[in-house]
Amino acid sequence: MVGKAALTVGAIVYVENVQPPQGGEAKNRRVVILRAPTADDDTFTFAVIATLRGPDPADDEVRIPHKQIPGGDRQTSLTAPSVAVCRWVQDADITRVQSVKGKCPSITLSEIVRKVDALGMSE
Amino acid sequence: MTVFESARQAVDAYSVNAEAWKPAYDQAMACGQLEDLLLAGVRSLHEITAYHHGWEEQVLSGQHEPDLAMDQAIWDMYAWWMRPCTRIKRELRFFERQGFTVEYAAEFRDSLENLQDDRRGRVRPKAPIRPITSDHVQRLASSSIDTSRYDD
Repeated sequence: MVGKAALTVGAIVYVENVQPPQGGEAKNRRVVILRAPTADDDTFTFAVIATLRGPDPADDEVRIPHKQIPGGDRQTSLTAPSVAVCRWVQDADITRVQSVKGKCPSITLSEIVRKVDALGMSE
Repeated sequence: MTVFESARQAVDAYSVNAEAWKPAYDQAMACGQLEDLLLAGVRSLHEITAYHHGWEEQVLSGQHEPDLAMDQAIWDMYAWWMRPCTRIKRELRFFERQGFTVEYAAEFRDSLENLQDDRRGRVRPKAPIRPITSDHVQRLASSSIDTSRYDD
């Protein structure tokens, strides 16, 4: 199990059994942490990371830096064009984290948080 | 050749060598100054990003009130950091073409490239970052998402 201390805001982690919002097959997915667990709370909030389809992100997506080299981007570890899906936000218990993959750069993280905040408040 | 002529030749040779040595010395000194600048640049960017990450952690955990002015001030610090980068890159290329191996060049280029990647397509913030709460999660739970788009 991954230690709680590693699950900070902006951490990119692999989480098991991420459920699609409208139901369907759960999958293990890469996510970015938006609310970290605390001393009294073992849950955290995340946005799902997915491969970018098409040349540009959709309105509810935020591009995350990647590098098409072995090992990927030094910070994010992403090797393919990727986005945070800002409508696909869920809570999870820390026991579902399989591994820590990297860290979302701060400017990108702020952009994701602003978009999730705006979408969440307008739904 | 008289003793005088011999001494004169020696002085001439010394003088020519001294002149030839000076530009190379000046260039090496200038390269050293550029290396100091690159190191200062890498370190200052590291300070900005560390501060920014700490700020995000404090606001998103509720330890600090959201503050748009601070978000914009951090954004501006990145912009100020990038301002001299075109000139620095030009000087770096100049010294490398002269055959110098410039220390901290790789770290500087790496830092700049990462920052450019992080800023690409973003604009100066118009809203502060605020903590993501259970309200957000509940409201977004009913969002309509075409997950087939995300079947990696």
